Amino acid sequence: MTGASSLLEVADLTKRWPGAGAPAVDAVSFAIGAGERVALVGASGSGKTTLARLVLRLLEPDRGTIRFSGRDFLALRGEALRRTRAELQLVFQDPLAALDPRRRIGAQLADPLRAHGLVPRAERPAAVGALLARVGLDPALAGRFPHELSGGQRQRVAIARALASRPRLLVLDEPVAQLDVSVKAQILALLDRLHREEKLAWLWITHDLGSARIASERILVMDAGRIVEEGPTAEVLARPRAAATRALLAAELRLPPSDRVDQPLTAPSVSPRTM
Amino acid sequence: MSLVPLLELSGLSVRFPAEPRPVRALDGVELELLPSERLVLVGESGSGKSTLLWKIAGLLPEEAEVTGSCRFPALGRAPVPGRDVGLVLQDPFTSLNPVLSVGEQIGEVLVTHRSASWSAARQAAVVLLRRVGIPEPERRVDDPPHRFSGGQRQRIAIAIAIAAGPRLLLADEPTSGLDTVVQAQILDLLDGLVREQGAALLLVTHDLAVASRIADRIAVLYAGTLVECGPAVRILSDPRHPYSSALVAIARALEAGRIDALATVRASPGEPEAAARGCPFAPRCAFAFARCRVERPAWSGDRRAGVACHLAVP
Repeated sequence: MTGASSLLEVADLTKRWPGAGAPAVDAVSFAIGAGERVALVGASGSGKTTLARLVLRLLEPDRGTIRFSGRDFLALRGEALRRTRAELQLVFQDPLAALDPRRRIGAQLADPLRAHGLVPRAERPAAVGALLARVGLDPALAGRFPHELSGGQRQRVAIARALASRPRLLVLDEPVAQLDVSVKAQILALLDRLHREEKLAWLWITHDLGSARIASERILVMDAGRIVEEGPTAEVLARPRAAATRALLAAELRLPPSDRVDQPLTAPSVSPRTM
Repeated sequence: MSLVPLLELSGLSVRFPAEPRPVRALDGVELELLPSERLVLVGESGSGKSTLLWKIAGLLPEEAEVTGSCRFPALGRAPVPGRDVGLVLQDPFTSLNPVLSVGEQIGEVLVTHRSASWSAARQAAVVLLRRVGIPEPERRVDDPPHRFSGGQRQRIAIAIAIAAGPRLLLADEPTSGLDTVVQAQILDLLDGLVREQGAALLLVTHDLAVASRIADRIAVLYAGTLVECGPAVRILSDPRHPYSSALVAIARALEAGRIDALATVRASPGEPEAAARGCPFAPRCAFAFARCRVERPAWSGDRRAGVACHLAVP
């Protein structure tokens, strides 16, 4: 997945925290193609969040290179950096932490439209409404504050905010980990639709193999700062080679096997007597 | 196993005063738990699962309006919180006292409820720390909570909850902040401890996969109403309420990596007034029909198994 088609190309990326023995991220190289969905999985402390922060340039690496859309991301300054940042957006685990509690949703969605000079002032309310509609929310929610929304609605707003600057790559850090199961299913379905409609690529960071299965074609497994296994998600999870991958699979909580797995959901037809 | 239930909830309803109208957190819950049985309450935000747990733990705020009953027949008296009933919360970062050593926090339970001396309590704390899997407990017993990892802190919270040898262990989302590997270890630890002690376990989670690891029986709550209850194996293989079916379908879709199988529950929970008369799940139910919107389905079953759905009534 390297070469001309790569959207993001990371090589030899290394970060050691002051005083720490082993690097938190140790000579990591990988690439993400345009429109490609990649999952980054690993246990707590494996270095996946540090790697994400390096990729977003929220943290400067000790060594290594990051190329985004063919440009040397680490060398970019000023206007060029700002334009590239617009194409590379982040969605956090906790949307409350990403949204300003004192400002209405509409104003917060208008920020990136203004900052990146994407939409003239007069057209911003309509553009905000369109953004909300794109993530399956009622445009009337623009007048609400974050605390008036449910957790699932807030995560949709956070996704809308990330989409506002028309990114080509999203970095999603455990975007569904705090959500209820039925809400999680809806957010996964929403992101899947956005990927298909907008050729959106992403790096999806999680310790949950269930969402990795749904949300990625390719998977990177991290352990002790290194990528220890990489390949097509279905293949890696069916035939894991690295000990870290096997440990994640062994710890995954699964329902007992059922012969009904492939049946579509049907109306329950039961009699209480058989209970 | 005694057939006298350890815990028996009958017509249990809880309301909280609020403007413009009281919030109905629980509505007519019928449930029982036998000694050494493991029951998992499955529900999402606002389902009332934490309210139910707090009621059983005796921790509901005074303004809560409670009707119906919550009894402990096998105990024959009101339980003493911390002694007869232990509680493990979701977040060990906030449930542990940051300025006391873990040994003092475990020891306090034994001094309070088992009349132990502080020196005996410290020795017992070392044994308990070992039992919950903290390495080198003799060396760690005087450390404060921040010297431990998130998973270890949850183990310490469990040690505190089991210290007095409770008959019932309550656990509110005990693994949701933890990563996958630690999550499985903590569930197995809880499972092992209640087996060893012959205690009953009531665990609350939004995750059916968590329930499947540990439950003898599963009870599914939606919007304060018990919608289905029964043996875990049966609920997971043959759910009868459309909401339980949807939860099972989502869990299986995640396991199989099938995005097409995810869209099983409608997005909007709907306005509360709309569901006030009918089935609370009707606004999101793919199978709702006219009757579901005007008539609340009755609980069909007993305190061990049943379902509340018009489609599940003959």
